[in-house]
Amino acid sequence: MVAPAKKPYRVVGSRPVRPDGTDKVTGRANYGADIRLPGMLYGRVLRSPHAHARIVRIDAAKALALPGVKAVITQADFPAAEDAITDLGETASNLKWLVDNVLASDRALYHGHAVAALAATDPHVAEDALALIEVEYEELPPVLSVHEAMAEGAPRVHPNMHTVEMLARFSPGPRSEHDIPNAASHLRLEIGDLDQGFAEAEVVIEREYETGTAHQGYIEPHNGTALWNESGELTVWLSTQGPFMMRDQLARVLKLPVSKIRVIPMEIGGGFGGKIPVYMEPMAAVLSKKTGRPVKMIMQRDEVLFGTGPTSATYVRVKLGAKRDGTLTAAEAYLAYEAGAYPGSPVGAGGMCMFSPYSVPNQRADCYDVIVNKPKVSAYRAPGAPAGSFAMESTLDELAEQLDIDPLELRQRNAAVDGTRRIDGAAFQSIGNEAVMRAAAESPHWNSELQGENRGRGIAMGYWGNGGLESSAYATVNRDGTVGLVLGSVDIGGQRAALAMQIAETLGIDYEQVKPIVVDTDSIGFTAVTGGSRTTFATGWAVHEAGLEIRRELEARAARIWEVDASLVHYDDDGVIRGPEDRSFTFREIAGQLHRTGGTVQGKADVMPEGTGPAFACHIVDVEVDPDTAKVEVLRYTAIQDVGTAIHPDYVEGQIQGGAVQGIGMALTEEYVYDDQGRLRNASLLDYRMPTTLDVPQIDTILVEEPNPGHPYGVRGVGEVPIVPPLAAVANAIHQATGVRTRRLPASPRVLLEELLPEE
Amino acid sequence: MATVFIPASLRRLCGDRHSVEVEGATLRQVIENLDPECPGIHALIVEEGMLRPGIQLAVNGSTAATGLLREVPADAEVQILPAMSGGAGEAPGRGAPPR
Amino acid sequence: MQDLRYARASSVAEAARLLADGGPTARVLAGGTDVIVQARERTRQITLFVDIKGIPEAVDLRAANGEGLTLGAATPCHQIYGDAAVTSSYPALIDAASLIGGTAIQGRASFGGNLCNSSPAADGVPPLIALGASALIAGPGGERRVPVARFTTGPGQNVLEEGEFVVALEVPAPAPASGARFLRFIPRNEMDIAVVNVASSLRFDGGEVVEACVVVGAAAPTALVVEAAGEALVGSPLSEESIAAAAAAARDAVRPIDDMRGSIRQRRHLAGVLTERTLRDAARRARGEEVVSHP
Ligand SMILES: Cc1cc2nc3c(=O)[nH]c(=O)nc-3n(C[C@H](O)[C@H](O)[C@H](O)COP(=O)(O)OP(=O)(O)OC[C@H]3O[C@@H](n4cnc5c(N)ncnc54)[C@H](O)[C@@H]3O)c2cc1C
Repeated sequence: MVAPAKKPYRVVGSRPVRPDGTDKVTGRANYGADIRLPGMLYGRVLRSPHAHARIVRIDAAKALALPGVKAVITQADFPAAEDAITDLGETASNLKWLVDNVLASDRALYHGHAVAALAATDPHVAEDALALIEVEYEELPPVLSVHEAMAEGAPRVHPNMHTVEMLARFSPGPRSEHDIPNAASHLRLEIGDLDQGFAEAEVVIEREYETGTAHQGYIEPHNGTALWNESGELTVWLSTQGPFMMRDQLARVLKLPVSKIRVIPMEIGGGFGGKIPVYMEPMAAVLSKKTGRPVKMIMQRDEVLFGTGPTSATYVRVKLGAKRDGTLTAAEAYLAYEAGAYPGSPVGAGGMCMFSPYSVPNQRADCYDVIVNKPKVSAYRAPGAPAGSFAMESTLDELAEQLDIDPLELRQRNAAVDGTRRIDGAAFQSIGNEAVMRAAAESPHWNSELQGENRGRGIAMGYWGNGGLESSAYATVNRDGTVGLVLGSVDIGGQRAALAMQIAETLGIDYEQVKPIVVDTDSIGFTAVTGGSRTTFATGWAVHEAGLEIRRELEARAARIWEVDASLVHYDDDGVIRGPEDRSFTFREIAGQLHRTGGTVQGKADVMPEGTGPAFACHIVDVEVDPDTAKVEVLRYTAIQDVGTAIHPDYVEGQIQGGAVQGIGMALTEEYVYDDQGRLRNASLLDYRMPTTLDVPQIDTILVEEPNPGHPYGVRGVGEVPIVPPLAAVANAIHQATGVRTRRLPASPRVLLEELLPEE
Repeated sequence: MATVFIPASLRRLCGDRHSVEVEGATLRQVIENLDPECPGIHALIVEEGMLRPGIQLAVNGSTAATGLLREVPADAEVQILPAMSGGAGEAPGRGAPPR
Repeated sequence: MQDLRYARASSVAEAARLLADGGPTARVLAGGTDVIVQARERTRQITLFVDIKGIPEAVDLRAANGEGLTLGAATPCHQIYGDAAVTSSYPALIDAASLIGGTAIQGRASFGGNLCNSSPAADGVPPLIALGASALIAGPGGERRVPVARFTTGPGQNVLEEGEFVVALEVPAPAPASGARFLRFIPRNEMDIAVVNVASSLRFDGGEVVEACVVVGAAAPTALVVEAAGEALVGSPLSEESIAAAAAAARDAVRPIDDMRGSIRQRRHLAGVLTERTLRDAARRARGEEVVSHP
């Protein structure tokens, strides 16, 4: 369902077929797994069987003696990370952490932490050889939850780390007065006067929540093939959201100038934030250097779960103060997010986002980044926001119940509007929050009657800030009237189509006239990752500007051909260049004359746009809970979102549906299961339970289009916010169905059954 | 005059004020002029003449893409923000890559 | 993956010989949906695969009227639920055949493989037991028959001797006024291993239950025939009380473990829930009502 677009566009808002579609459905598209080079070796990684252990000795002699094995490496084969010996916490040496996460140094800090890697002539020999590497471990006690980790006297995972006060999410400031074990940092966000806010409140409610560790669950495992040639140049074919980010990380880890590294992004089978950090790519590079041959590495499925970054397990406490009429006077939160073995959980974003849909004059969030013996977390779609919002939106639901106010009505009464200040003090401009709530209130779903036993309906809001950052693009006009569009943004969710559509709109030509291509890091200017809901926005800006440059060039060329002053020539939005005396060129006509009138025309742009519009979403869900088995069936789901302008509505809807399903997974079935030794028990997609198509209904979408004034086509990031509301929406629905408040997600049947059964 | 919103963690430098008004046509000038009001704040935000990796400044709610070079209109609001780039800013080791 | 040899047998005798020559690391290959995974993950050492899908008796499917069903051990699930005679007379087998894995897995997975893999959670086993099926075993010493209820001896263990394999499963013809039902509980709606599964069969005579069998899987080292449930049901009409008594007997009989797939309390409880649900459906089938496998 789509509200009519504000502007009459020709291409924007239509639903053309994606340029990569045919090759993908016929299996011809080239992924990292398809790379095959002459003389190529196959690499494998040996991983720690312990959650926390000192590595006493690694002996590779037997592995090296196996015919076909060409090299074995450990961290000692990497250039020494600077600050290697200095105190971790004080210097915030994130290079050391990055390197240590790729390959453990003297200690393995989580089950599955890479400790050695090897390369062999075929993958089976490589696998055989792994078992021949002897590693002597001395087991150490692991810390496995934020509670354990932060307890007084807890063993410190990084013995010299002290709690640091964060100025912003990644900027450590002075050492904190309160040194909490394993808390790498503390960030306080605050506006107004909290004490005052609670003093004004007539009702105060405080609740605690937890969420489990969830993985992004992309279907394509990480892969990378590296060739370090004799002149010292490194080429890497891989699957990533950010080829330039990969290049820069490789440069830091390998101590190479970026000009020596060429990263070639292959097609990517999903990322969701998880395909940004380096994992085995630097190992493949060093193995290639050692052997003089290309080395290919592909993670097994269990390695993806063991060794790459999921999102944090979390603990969040929320306290709300309100008037009897529902007006919120104060909102306070304490958030502790697991970072995994090295600092860097998205806890700051959790604190930042959870209250943002609401106008609350007095707010505070204390955010703790907590080290535990688990894999280092990575970004995952609106990183950090789902857990914080689960806490806030569940507590709001309870408040609505206490005050006997309709839950959506309560949210509408407190809705953030233009000018409302967020917790960091910034005031909102041009947001669609109220429009989203209104669309939810008017939706067929909200206005339908929920019938049947054991059923409940839940609602929740979500907020995400979206990103801008650098993008480059250039476009060449071809003789046949087509445009080659060259991009540095890899295509995960239909970006080639959405970007081709924007330049087609700018040039007034058909979508089919644009041929987009994603190129490597030597072939275009720096472009930040496809992530942060930024690509259709920021790279969209770039292609628009490249299009404008082509328009100007073609005006000048037409003026020259007609021998008139350039000011008399105008490139109109319908793609026709008009001059005096009814003279005109269609795009195709002038494109055919370029080579004989001065040569080809290109447009290019390098942008770093401001004005990213924040995103708001409201999700409504109906569930039925089997009272005998505690299994939750999602019956109906509607996601309402302010999407700015939906460039390609199919892909916008796809983003919303995908995000909602991932959120439902976090709410109901997905979590890492550890034993008390910190060993991951469910490193497979059999037991790490993502929803299948049989587990979710059609996700209905309602696109609210409040164009972002900060973008030529009104684009707002759409990809991340849809994962934010589902957790609380589902939990609120379960409450209505059963009377049980699930404060720990996922609400798996096993956990929920305990709540439904009489106490033993 | 620009109004600079001081993040909670830095308010102790500013006599616990939540916001401070200072002159400045660019963010560089604003942050320099802020230092006498909040002694020590400059060094926490600026490193070798550049915005420290990871710190984001916003002018009227928009993250300043040009960092300290960003122009500051009259009566603007300036925030020292936690980065919110989500998927885009999470990679370890992102700080100041050797480009 | 490990280095291994592959041989395709075309007769029962050839398969028996290949297996005997291959020794303890020779394995039968039916659909391969268990054993290829085990080979890849190296959870089982294998040097030889003996493919039995070329043996006519092992891929046979015959539901002769009144004489029961002969189900070749390697017959894939899709062929079973694609057979009208089997679907109408043995719906409890279809309950299982149509939920093992997903469509792709069902194109390969067999009941023989499901039984011989001998997982405590195997979905094919409880309905075979509830229907009174036997395994026809061939080996160096000739043929023998073992009731499925006595086939599995522990997790991953069964009565097969070296060189022996299952040629077919023989299921007696359904008696008049009888019905059976299989259900499992999983947290999702597909692609999962049973937290608990239950098959029940009932035979009525003049409104009274005269035969009853309740089999619970994934709640003990092997699928468990709950004798006490049968006793609670036989000799009276099916009633809320007798169903509740059977469920209580199932809860008492199980010896579940606590693992990431389910807790002890959950499994015990579910054994009761599924016993009740399968008994009700079995009775409906016995009355000739249609109960779809997966609504
Ligand atoms: C994705 C997936 C989903 C699955 N879902 C389910 C599920 O929902 N429920 C379930 O119960 N199982 C499930 N399984 C497991 C498996 O599919 C079943 O157990 C299947 O019935 C095995 O049959 P097969 O023909 O593939 O056996 P194979 O893998 O060929 O053999 C299994 C074992 O039995 C031995 N064997 C096979 N046939 C004979 C024989 N005739 N005589 C002697 N030994 C023999 C083999 O040597 C091997 O050890 C799943 C597997 C996968 C990969």
